[in-house]
Amino acid sequence: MRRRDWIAAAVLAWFVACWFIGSSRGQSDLGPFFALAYPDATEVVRISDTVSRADGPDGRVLGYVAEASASGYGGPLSLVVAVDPEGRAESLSVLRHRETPAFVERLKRAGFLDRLAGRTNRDPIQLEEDVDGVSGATYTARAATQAVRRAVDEVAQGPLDLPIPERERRVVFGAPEVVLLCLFGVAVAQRRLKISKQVKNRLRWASLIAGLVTLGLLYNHPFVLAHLNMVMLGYWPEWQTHLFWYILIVGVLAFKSIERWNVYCYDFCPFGAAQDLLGMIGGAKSRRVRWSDALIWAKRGLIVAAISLALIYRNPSFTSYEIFGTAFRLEGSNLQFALLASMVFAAMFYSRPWCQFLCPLHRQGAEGLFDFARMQVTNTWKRLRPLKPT
Amino acid sequence: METTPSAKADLSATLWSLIFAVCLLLASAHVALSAVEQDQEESGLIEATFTRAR
Repeated sequence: MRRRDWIAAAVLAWFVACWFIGSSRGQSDLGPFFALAYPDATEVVRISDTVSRADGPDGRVLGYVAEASASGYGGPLSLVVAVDPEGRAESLSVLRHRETPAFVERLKRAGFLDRLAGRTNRDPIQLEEDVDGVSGATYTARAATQAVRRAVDEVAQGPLDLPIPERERRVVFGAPEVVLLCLFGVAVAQRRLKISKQVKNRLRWASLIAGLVTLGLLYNHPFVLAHLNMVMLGYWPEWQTHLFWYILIVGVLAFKSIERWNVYCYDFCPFGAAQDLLGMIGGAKSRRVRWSDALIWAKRGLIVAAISLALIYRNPSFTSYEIFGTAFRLEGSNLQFALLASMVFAAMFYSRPWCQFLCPLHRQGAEGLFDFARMQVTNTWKRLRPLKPT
Repeated sequence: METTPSAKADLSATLWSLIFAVCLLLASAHVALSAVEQDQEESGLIEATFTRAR
């Protein structure tokens, strides 16, 4: 193996070690937190893995506290829901979440948690059925709704022994999913149809602009490091509510494996398109950079650190340093805004600087690791495969 | 003193390197601060409040 392969193997082994470190980290004691739901309770008794019972001074049951999770955009969102003996969600609190903090803030500002409190085991508790959504935080709102439904059902079916209505599992298939499938369709057409180079180029530009407008500005659903972290952490959301996520992940990996082409980066990455447009304005080109190798290795180090922390803390999204949300929703830390300003300036004179020196998904990042892993699997398969008789 | 084209190119290459090095530092600082905040968030879990039904 070459030196570079040894390093890639060591990085993969390090990620496995981080995964085990993360899974062995102790969880906080939630007893005092549960007691906050029923301040008058004299005792909070755990009656199952996820449900505790709050007993009053006279031995009367004040209610139950259930912990339930559902997948948001960046990972699981966990709520603690206090359910009264009639099966009504009396109060609720966000226990922990793996979302971009701005999404959760948006829910709180919109009073979304107030809308969920008071639901009973007889209600559908479905987003856009009996619960209104929150624009710009649909996945987070859906996860919170789903978590409340699960908590209420858990208490109703468990200690209360109350009936719950037959709840239909709706498949969420809307405009974002259709747009994404169309973008993949255009990418396939570019590679499989016998068309001139000029037409191919026009198709690529059309899909880049479409990606910028839809995945970037309209839906703000870019492919981010958190998606890969979710896969590595085993946070697989329900396909019925996260079809977009599955189409994106499966489509990109399938394209990379079959066509050996990073379709997302070159054909419809919204931030790639924004850089290309800025480059057209300023006449960007590939320029010579001093210490280019050192910068690429520094980027790799940053990616390894970001993924390792995500695995250790079992939180896929908090180390995502990407500036897509900053660019398309004007949300992020001061450091991310400073980074965005630098990138906007650089992209006008330097061709796709983000992709080359910072993007975690690009060739020198996760894509390179994927190529290495695929090569190892292919080589092993070739060695193990029985030879055909001649 | 006149600057030769190769000296200009060297200066430009150095400036670009410095710009990208600063960008990498900004991204690293964001990751490091996020990790610190995550740690504080985990330890401050039981200070959270409940939203009650009206």
